[in-house]
Order: sequence, then structure tokens, then C-alpha cells
Amino acid sequence: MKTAAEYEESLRGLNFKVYLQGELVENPVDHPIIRPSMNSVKATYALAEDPQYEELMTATSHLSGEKINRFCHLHQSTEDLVKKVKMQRLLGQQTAACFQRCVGMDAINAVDSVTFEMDQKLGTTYHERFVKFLTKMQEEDWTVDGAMTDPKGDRGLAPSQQEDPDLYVHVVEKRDDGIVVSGAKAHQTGALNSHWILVMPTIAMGKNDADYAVSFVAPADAEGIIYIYGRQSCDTRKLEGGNIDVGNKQFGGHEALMVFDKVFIPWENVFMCGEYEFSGSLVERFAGYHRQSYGGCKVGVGDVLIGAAALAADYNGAAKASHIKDKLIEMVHLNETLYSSGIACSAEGYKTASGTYLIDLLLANVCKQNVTRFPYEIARLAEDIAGGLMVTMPSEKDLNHPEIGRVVEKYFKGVASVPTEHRMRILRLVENLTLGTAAVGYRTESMHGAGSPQAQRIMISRQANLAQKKELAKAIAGITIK
Amino acid sequence: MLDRRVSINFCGGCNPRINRGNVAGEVKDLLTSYGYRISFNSFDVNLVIYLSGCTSNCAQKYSKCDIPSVVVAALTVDTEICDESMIVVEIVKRVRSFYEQLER
Repeated sequence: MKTAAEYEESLRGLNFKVYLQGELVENPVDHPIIRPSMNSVKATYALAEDPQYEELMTATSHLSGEKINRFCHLHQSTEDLVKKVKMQRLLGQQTAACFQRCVGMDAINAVDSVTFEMDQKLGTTYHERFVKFLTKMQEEDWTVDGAMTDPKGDRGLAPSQQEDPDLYVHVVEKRDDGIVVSGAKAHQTGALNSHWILVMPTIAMGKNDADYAVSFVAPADAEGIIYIYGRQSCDTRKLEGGNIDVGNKQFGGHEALMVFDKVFIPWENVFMCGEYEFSGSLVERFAGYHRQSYGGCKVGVGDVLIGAAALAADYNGAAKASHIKDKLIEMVHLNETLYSSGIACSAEGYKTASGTYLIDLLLANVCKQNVTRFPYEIARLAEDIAGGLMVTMPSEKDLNHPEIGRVVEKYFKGVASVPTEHRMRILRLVENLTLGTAAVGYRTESMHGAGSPQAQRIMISRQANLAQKKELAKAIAGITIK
Repeated sequence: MLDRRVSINFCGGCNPRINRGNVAGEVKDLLTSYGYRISFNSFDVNLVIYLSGCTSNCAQKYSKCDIPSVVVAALTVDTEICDESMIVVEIVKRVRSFYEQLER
């Protein structure tokens, strides 16, 4: 396995073409806006080195029998699925941010079972190619970006009906030695902290969309790939050089638009090319795994937010008020409810034909549906407890100012024994998580990441087994069909 | 005298009710001073101390090993409720008792 230092060093060897606020970035690893997101991924390597966290952070490869980072592992049991959620909660707690590496883990698990089933039905050799890649990924301890979401253009039209064909990633040329692809993937979490990209189709497709039913891996810095870095609320505070106003100095997350401009992919790296009838199950399984993920990572970040709100109450001198206690209880209740469904969909997982375990899709979708709601309520309660000062207090430059610093110190003090700086730090952390850079991950990603709410409702409807429920009701009510 | 090898095996630490790092550090220091050899997350020992942060007891739950053990799960030591300040004492007491019986 790579050490945290080796991971950082390995990124320095990549040649990304990334634009941030209109400028080409020469050194993404040390860029002050990007760096905290790299630190979050780096934590997935650092914790795997620590005996205290090894149980969750590592697994035994079913391919090599070697100890590997769990992010490179295919789930071999429901125990693995449960440990995945617990690992994600742990990392959410340790970073208070999106640590980005889950998308790749969810992608490899989905691609494994789907390519196996494709080969069984069609006689293709995609699974064998995938296993070769996975073996290397485990050996090298790569971070892989699972890239699914296309820009999608007109949502009322299929990929092949779009005015601009590049609005979905598609094959533009097939050669003897590989394929050439163009298009883009949007919202790419952690792309610039990844060694490889694993591309998957974004929706179920029909015969006319065969060129869009494509899955492959490419080096994250491959020729022809460019990135445009996504803005986050309050992101330029990271350029100010302070450590209070950013809320979370060390960790963060990122998303980027990833553009493929006639990128060549050798056949050995292609895992789907035209088999449109399998694009739906690949999407469904990746989304299912990723909806499970949110029952871990968002809960871990929620733990930090609940802790911050409780500290804010302490520092305000309000901790003994019954309504504050009740609000904290409600936050814990909501957070643990999310965790419950993350654990439940894992415990109820099952083995697929390839041997890899899949979560219970109904419970995973229920989990994510709750995630589209509960973090918002937890954030609302945190803001309620924190008070309006969270968004009206002056900057750390004012706190540190030789003249007005004393004024800030005096008038922004809460409980006498707590330094004003501590109060400001905790309020900035609440701000960071509820409406600053981390709100991208904790709020809007909770809404739309792994699929928007309606996508889960469709899956819940498909999995609901209403026919059986009707029979139950008939039996109890004494209804018999003559 | 037996080679007194003991391993402290951690859960993953996602929901700790006790400070596992502190407990492990103090147990290691104390037992080392008594001549024990302490490792982490190993089964190549005579005795395992399973150190779980909560009552799920993941340190032991997923272990497929039947080596004699002391099990700490949140505020319990071998299922007996224990104040956090006494966990280290209880662990050390059990480890020493185990080896004393073994060497008798």
C-alpha cells in the first residue's frame, strides 16, 4: 500500500491540464484552493497506516490475498459492505469533508459484476480486462475517479437525439487498437486527486444510443482530457492565508468538469462498447453502491456538525436550555437514522454472479432519499443553535488587528472562560459546513449526488413489492377472489 | 518463563465511546515494563486484547481466531461494566492473571 507521503508524491508526477478561475494551474497539489481536497484523499492513505483504523481502512484482496486499502477492494461479504459504511463514517468524522475516493470504489464494484454478466451472456472478454486493471489498481493503491454523470443537455432527449453529440461521452472512432472518445463528465468529485478515471454511461440506453454505451479507464492526465475546476461558496477565503475564516483549514472536497477531446483508449482498457442493454444495470448498481455510501460519509460529517453545534451552545452559555438539548437530540436522531439505513442495506446485501456483493437496492435508495432531507434539517438546527453571529461576525483579520482586535475580543465573547477566538472558530466551522465550501458536500451533494431525489423514488417504486403488500391486506381483511 | 506475547487488536474506530489510543498506549507501557512484548493487530501471540470503541465490538466480531482474549467493548471489560479510568487496570490485571495461570 502507498503511504500518505507516497500518494502526494505520486500526484506530483501527473500532468493535469486544469483551469481554475480562468487560469491554467501549473501545480494543482499545492494550489491553496485545491490542496485541502487533496488532504482529504491523503487521509484515506494515512488512516490505513494507523493500527487504530486498520480494521476498517484495509481489506484482504480476493485476487492476491494481500492487504490492500479498502477503497481498492471488491466486497466479498456483507461484512465488507458494513465495514465500508463504517469506514466512510470514520473518514467523514476525521475530515469533515468529502474524501472523494468512494466514487472509484463504487465504480469498480459495479463494473465488476456487470462485466462478468455481460461476458456470460454475450461471450465478450470485458471482465478479464477489468480484473487486469483492478489487479494493478490494488498493487499500486491508485485513487480512481468513478465518472458517470454526463452534462446531458436537453433532458427530454436521448443521447443520440441531442443537437450536440458531445453532451454525452461517446465513441467517435473504432480502431484495431482501441477507441476514440469525446464528450464530458460533469461534477467529477476528486478527479484531480485521482490517478485514473473509470468512465461509465450515465443512463439506461436504447439501440440508437449504442455509441454512448461505453465504459473504460484512462489515466487521469491522459492526452486530450482537460478539467475546469468547480467554484465553491467562499472558496477564495483559502487565498487569504488565514486559518479561522476558512472554517476547515486542512480538509475539503472538489468537483470539476472533465472534458474528453478525442481521447484514445486502447481495447485493453475498454469494459463496454455498444452493449447498450447493460448500461441500465451498470447505472443502477453504481448508484446503489453510492447511495449506500452516503449512509456513512454524510453521517461522519454530521457527527462533526453536531459536535460543533454543541460547542457553540457551550460557548454561548446556552447548553442547559431545554430547547437546545432537544435540538441536539433531534440532530443525533436524524444522523443515526441515516446511519441505520446505510448499515441495513449493507447487512441485507447479496452475492452477484461474479462473487462481488451488492447492497439491498431498496434500502440503499431509502438511505439516499433520507440523505436528500436530513442533512438539511441538521444544518438548519445547527444554524439555529449557533445564532446569527455565524454570518455577521467580523473576519480574523479584525480579530488580529492591533487596534480593533480588542473590540472584537470584547464584544464577541460568550462564556467568560472561553476565548473569543475559540467561539469564532467553531462558528466558522458551522458556517463552512452549512453554507461555505463544505456545504457543497454536506448539503447540495446530499441532494443531487448519487442521483437526485426523484431517481431514488423511481427505484423505491420498482423495488416496493406492492403486489405482496396487497395480498397481505386482502388476507387480513378476509377478501377472497371467487 | 514463557515468551509473553500480547497483541492489542483494534476495531476500526468509527463510533468510539472510549479513547482507544490512550487505553492502548497505557496498556502497552505498563505491560512492557512488566516484560511483555506488545504488538498491534496480530494473532501471532498467546493472548489478544480486543479493543473496541463501542458495544458492537467489531475488534472481536470479525475475528475468526480462538486465541484466549480480553475483550474491551466501550465501557465493558469481558462484558463487565467498567469506568473508563479503570479499563487499563482491568486489562492489565487480566493479562497478568492469564500468564500466571499459564506458567503455574
